[in-house]
Amino acid sequence: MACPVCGQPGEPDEADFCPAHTRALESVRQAYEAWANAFGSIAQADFLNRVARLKGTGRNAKGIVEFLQQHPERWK
Amino acid sequence: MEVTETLIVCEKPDAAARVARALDEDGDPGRIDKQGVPLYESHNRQETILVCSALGHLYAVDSKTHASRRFYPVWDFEWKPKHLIDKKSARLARWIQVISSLAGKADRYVNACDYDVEGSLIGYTILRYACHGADRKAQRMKFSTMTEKDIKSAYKTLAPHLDMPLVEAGQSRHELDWLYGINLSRLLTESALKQNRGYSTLSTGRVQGPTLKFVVDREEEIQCFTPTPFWTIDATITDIGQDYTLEYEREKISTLADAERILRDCKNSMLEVESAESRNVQQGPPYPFDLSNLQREAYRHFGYTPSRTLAIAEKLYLEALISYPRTSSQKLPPDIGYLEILRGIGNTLQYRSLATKLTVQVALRPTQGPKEDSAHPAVYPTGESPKRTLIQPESNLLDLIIRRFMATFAEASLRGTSRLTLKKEPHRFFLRGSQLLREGWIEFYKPYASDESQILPDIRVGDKVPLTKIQAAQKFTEPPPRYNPSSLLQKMENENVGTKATRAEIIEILYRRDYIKNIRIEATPLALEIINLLNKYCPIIIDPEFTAKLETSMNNIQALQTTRSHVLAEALDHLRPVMLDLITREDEIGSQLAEVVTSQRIARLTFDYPCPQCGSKLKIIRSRTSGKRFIGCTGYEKGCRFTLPLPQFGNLSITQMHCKTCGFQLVQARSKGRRPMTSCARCYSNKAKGTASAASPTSSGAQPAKNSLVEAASLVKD
Repeated sequence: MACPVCGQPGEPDEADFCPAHTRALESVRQAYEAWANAFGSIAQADFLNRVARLKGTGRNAKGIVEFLQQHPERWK
Repeated sequence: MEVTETLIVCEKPDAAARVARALDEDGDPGRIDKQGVPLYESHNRQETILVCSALGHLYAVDSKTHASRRFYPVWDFEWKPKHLIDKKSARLARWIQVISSLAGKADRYVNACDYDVEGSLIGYTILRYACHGADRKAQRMKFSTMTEKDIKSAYKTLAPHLDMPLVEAGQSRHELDWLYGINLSRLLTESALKQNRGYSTLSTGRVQGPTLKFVVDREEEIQCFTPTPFWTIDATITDIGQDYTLEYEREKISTLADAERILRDCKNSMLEVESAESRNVQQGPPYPFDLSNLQREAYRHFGYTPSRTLAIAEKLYLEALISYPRTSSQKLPPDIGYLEILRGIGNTLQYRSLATKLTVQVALRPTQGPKEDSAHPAVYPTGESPKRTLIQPESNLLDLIIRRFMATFAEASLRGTSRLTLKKEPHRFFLRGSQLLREGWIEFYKPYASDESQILPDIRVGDKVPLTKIQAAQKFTEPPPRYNPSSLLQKMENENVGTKATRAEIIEILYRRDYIKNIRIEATPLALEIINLLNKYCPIIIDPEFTAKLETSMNNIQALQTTRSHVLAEALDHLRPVMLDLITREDEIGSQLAEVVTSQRIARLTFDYPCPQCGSKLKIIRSRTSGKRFIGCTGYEKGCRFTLPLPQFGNLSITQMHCKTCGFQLVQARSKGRRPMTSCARCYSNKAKGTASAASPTSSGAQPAKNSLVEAASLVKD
């Protein structure tokens, strides 16, 4: 399956994202937990908006953030 | 009395001149130019000494049977004259011819190339192939500085044979690097070329692959990084009008609630001094420089890349101002003559008082580091004065080496550190101070060591002081830092990838191949793709552990613990199946690479900054008529004639940095052995136009435009 963020093939084939974006997704998920813990709670949309604007957010992480903003159902 | 004729082979012409001068009775050897190759003839009572030089390697490894440079895999190799392999080395043919003609007349042969793996190999191949097997009877001259005294002493104490373990280690390194480099690089280049999307040299190798992997791994970490919030507590107390910044007991507060609670508890409160601790800390002098440390320190203080530092250091070595720089030793043995060197240093006014402080000491004992090198001591100044005015980078590096050398003989510095603990239950704050009580070695190593002090306020245990300011600053975690040329070199050293002599060059190759860019190193998409492919199909090639194991094997050849043929056979056992497997996947690899190569080629020539006249994209263009490079507008066909001049030397890359004056994207020119030059084409162009019109207000419209290009280029070069 092609990665919905960059079009590269998933690895293994049935994976939802390419290896780089799979890793980025994991990083975004872990960060969300840290953010929720830091602020008591935070809405996913708010988290994504803020992370998208930060200078330190990597290119692949930004790709995932934008994808999740458009497809909130893919948080799983 | 019969006069013997000795042929000495040196590594470089400058070294040959110096050796000849040192060995000539009158210090004035005859210089002979034979077919443009410089030779020196020195005389003493018993012998005539002909000193010739190489120009680095005159022989190299090449395929034995396949003439085509596109064929792979190739497994059979032999040593051949370099001019037969590389067209750029054509002039080396004359070198070999001249040395061969001298060899027939000589009674005695000496290898006086640098005493290390490469030097031993350069001398060996010349003696073996150009001097008709003279390697068997040749002697070895070993020295660590090019001073007259050292050269004479080395000549008196020649080793009876060549250092064959070093030679064999060198041979196997070249042969392994060739086998890996040629096969893998040809496969990458050819498989991409077969996709018919243009030629691009793609390379990887035994050291290049793992080094690039370090950068790519870091790049992926940075690109996948998501920042998380934390807070720091910034607190201040004031004493007699002076503000003191406090440290909160926890450096990072991970939740907003915690940070707010600390503020609530402490705001407008009095802090009580709970305890005061002080102690004196001795800091020993720094170790003498090995090459890596010298490269790191030169990067830190002057911004010189490791390859530039090495190039400058080699120049200083050839002028007998410092000892041999390609060393991994951090030791200074007594036989280098500490006192004599310090006296020599003291002849220069700026070091006189410092050197005198050391020479009056009863016993001179330098601090020694743990690293050793059987061939050379640490880098040290010879104490000789420069015979010419050094250019700034040379004098900077020499100053660093001289001060470091003196610092190693000085006593430890003594710093008094104190820490006050202030409390507002349940919170603790710290106030740290330090004062230099005894300069020790810092005095000698200034300005490269700091003597900063922070004096604490005069408050005692039990005193209460008001907290004048407290706030919680929200911050975010940051991605790991990018490598720079210095930290990448350090990483290679830590992982035992490459050698002290080759690491800097490998980093330069990665820049030249467009695998990495900028001083804060970024991996390009091409690098990501190559590492991705190698990781997928042959991870062993980019595995730093595997490369480090080969390095150890080659060191073992030097230590006579294994043999060259054994190491080669073992490496081939790994490489052969990898290559055969990769060949079956050529199409797949080629199509992925060709795509990235094409898009990178376009991207690297295209600016993000739009044309200021028409808004189209700006590109780097090479003129078909003059061959010169310039920035042109892609809206040319619509009538836009906007152009800007570019430097005509080095590899150009468009950076992501922007000019502080005009905002235009900066361009970086990288040339071998020189500091990368980053400049704004637009500002240089405007400056040049201004100068041109000021100088020639009446010139025609076309003329200033031409002048501006010339002047802009000269400004860029400066």
